[in-house]
Amino acid sequence: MKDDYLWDRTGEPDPDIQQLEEILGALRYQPQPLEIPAGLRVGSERSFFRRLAPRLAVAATIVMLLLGLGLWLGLQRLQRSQPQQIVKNPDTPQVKPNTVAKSSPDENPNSPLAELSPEPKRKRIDEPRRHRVNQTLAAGNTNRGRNAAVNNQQLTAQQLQEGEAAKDKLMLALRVASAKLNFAQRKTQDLNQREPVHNQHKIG
Amino acid sequence: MYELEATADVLVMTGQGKASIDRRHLEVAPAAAAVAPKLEPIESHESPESVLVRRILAGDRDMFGRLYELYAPLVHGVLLARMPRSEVEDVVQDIFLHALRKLHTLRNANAFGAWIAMIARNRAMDFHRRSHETVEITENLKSSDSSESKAEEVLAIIRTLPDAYRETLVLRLVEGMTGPEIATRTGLTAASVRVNLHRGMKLLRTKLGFKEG
Repeated sequence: MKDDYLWDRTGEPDPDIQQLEEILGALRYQPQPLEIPAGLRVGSERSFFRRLAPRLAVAATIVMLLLGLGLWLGLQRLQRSQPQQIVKNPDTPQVKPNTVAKSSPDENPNSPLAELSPEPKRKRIDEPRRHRVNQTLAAGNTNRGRNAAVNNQQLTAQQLQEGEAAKDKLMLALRVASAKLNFAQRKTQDLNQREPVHNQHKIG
Repeated sequence: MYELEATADVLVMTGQGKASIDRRHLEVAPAAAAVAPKLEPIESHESPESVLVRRILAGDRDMFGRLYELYAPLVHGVLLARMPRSEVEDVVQDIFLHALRKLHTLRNANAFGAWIAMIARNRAMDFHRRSHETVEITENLKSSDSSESKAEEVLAIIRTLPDAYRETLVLRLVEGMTGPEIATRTGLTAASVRVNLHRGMKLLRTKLGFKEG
């Protein structure tokens, strides 16, 4: 068959195909020697990478672990240092414990209640300690420190005024109470002086 | 579309037929017959070219000369179906040197033919991308001989055919390879080579004005 001749040159030859073979045979490949450069290496890359692949994988894993550990430690340190930075920031409004302490009757020497406060020195000693405890707590719990900072920022001027007014009212009430106590004390002293014999058994 | 078909055919490899045909080729070629007794395959399904590839990778560079002798006509035909003849000779050498450098990347040594044919196709595409205008001038200058000019004319007509047809026809009519040899070397199935040959020949007959046999 002619089809067989086209396929594997068996069977009846096809004159058209034979003619084409004759014409196109002029373009057939002419064997030429292959000049291989002396410096050309075969398969060296494969063996090199294959040999080093396990070591490279282990090294890469170690490096990745170290990087991850370093990153984690860095983040931890950053988180610890953040609350202190917020307290130190001058832009954020802060609650000053000293101003509150000064306005308290214990601290004011002119206050009528100053005489009544039993342990003024002990409180002064305690205050820095409390402050220190608060600092450590704030450092330990970042969320709480952040919340405090956010609350301070959220105080408006109106709220501050209201606070000041409440504080003034409280101070006035304390002064009135102090005056009443003084008055009562003087009265009792006067009574004692008028009837010293009559009240002797009570004093003794 | 034809390129897709060809690529799909490349993926369908037939190992047994390939090995038997290659052994037949080695028996025909005298130089190959001298080499054949040395190339004892480790496994029964291992083809002669895979033995050659294995030995080259083991450091026996002289074996690459054998591989070059076996596959140079294939690469020449693949390039001739796509590039001007004047450029083909140099590109064949370049492709084989490139193949020698990259031989370690070849995963299946039995597929050396399909691999190097694909390199040749890609190189031809690169050539057309880079210097399309130069191709026409050199082609016209080169074809001085009358017989060669006639051959160039027929080849120009074959180049107008779809990719899969023209490559198969060039390998059959120019390089003188049979259908089974083409299938073995290119990694295509015998069925698709047969279809490509008959459909391509039918189209070529029409274009050349031959009567249908």
